[in-house]
Amino acid sequence: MSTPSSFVYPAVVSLPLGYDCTFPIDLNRLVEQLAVPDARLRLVARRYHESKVVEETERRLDFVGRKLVSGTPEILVWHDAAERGEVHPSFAEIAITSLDDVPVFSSQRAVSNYSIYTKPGKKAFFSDNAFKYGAPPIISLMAKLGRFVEGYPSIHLDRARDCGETVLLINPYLRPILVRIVTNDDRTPLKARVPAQSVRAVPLIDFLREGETRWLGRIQLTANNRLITFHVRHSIANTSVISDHEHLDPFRTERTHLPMSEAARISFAGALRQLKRAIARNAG
Amino acid sequence: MNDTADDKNEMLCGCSNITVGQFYDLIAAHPKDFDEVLRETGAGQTCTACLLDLEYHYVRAFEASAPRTSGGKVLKKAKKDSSSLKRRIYRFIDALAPLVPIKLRQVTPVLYGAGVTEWLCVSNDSLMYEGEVAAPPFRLDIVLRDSEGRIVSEQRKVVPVGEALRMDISAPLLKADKSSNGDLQLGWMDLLRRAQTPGVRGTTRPQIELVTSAGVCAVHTQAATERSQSGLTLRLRPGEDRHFLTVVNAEPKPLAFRLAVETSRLPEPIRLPIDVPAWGARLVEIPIPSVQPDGELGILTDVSWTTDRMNKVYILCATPNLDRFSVDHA
Repeated sequence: MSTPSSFVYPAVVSLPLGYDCTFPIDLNRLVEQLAVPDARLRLVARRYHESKVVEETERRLDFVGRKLVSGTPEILVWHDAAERGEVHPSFAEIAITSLDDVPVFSSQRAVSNYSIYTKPGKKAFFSDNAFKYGAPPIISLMAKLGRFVEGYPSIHLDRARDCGETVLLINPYLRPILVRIVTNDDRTPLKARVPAQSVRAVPLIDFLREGETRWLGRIQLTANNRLITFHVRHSIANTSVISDHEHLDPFRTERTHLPMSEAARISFAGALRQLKRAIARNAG
Repeated sequence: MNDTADDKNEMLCGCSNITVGQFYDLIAAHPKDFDEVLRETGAGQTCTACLLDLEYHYVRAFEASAPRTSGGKVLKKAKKDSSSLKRRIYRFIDALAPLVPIKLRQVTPVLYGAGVTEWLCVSNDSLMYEGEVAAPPFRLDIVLRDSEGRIVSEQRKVVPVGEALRMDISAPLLKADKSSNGDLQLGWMDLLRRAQTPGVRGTTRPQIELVTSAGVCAVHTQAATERSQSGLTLRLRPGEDRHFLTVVNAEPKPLAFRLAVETSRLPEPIRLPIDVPAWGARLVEIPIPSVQPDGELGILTDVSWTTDRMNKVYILCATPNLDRFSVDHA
């Protein structure tokens, strides 16, 4: 039995310009992560823009017998910052801790749910939130290769269809980060400097060569520190009309093979799980 | 190891009073995963300011401890580690056993009709395209099934190092569907991938791309899940968006998918029972409750479901005329 922790890793929410963002607090998942039936939690949400905290809000979440007793928390909504005249996207950091540092969480995994992006006249979309720290594939990448590298395998730029794409670079840390984005077919790399606690958008349309109207390709990016990256598909004519908002994927250093004896143990455990499920189903 | 030795007295986590040297010693003696180290030491648990430094030193300590375990002082410590006898026996057997490829099976909805084309994209690029570190060639076994579970196509492909596969997976389903009336339809792809020689997975995580008349969206593929209940929160906006769930049954017996759509303004949830045939799939449009939206943000709605078999559910959000989509795992 592992020792419980007093916090879960902070989650980072991307806030592109042109949309209101709703962050539903997933109480069911939160309860699943409680190691104890009674807990007094504090959720703090801070929005960062250009190295400053520009919005901060807090929710209390008190559980008794794994039931929420502090009333349904008001949902978190960040309104479109473009309407306030901001020119760079921003991000929010969600921290959930137990009051008085009492260890109550069985796992430090950030509570995962989708953020919802809406704006009248535009299609909605969802996005995963990111771990600020502790993402296992990133730790494995740094341990094995010593470099931060993420990529995206299906870039699809098409002027005729009005399909543009942008990489959002979120730096929630305290030092500026330098980023370089390269393509599989040796196009001129794109570079960006992301100030501390800030976001920069790098339009991939800049990869199109003179006279080109369409490019299907792949990208990878590297940086002098890890950072949080998202890939956004949008209209070229109006970059604030977004179709889709997805995370990039770290270069995976997980193994492709395993000892036959370990494979057999995994298969056996899987079969046992299936059997237990079948028994539970029949009993139910 | 020089820099770590030089810095060994430096405080790494002030809250739990752990120095760099103590942290390295701990990992050398008891290699554990990062979370376990934090839990056992209490490092990074209080103010969390040192978490990035802890990650950095964890990586360095792990690298530093690895060669030393093949002989010398640390090996002796490692032999005295707290691993159970069972784990040590497993480790011994595993070291002697031949390697076999990990079979990664992924279950993915495939949309066709209504002007939607879906592509499977798998790349196998070296790190930063520099040619030094890459995954080995990957073999893909691709089975396409229609919504009733019938096999429509079976193909085997290999993605060599430095190359990428981009394959239209809608076309075989569209061709096989004699009753297609041009509406949006669903089949699914059972994708099994494995490396042909041992290595790392690199960039080979498959991605699906949906191309419509006015946009493109994409998401990486995932394995089926045993999770018997799940859900997500949506903002439903009449006239602005349409939301769909794709439900894939990854087992040879029928699946009972029970959907509930709930808002605080409805006295009872809307309940939809959906039966998915063995190896089949269903496209379910989420009904919009007849209640007043919460201003321009829409109707905050909880969508939840229960299932009784291995399954995979994706969420699609589309414009009313289906000319643009986004796709995510649910």
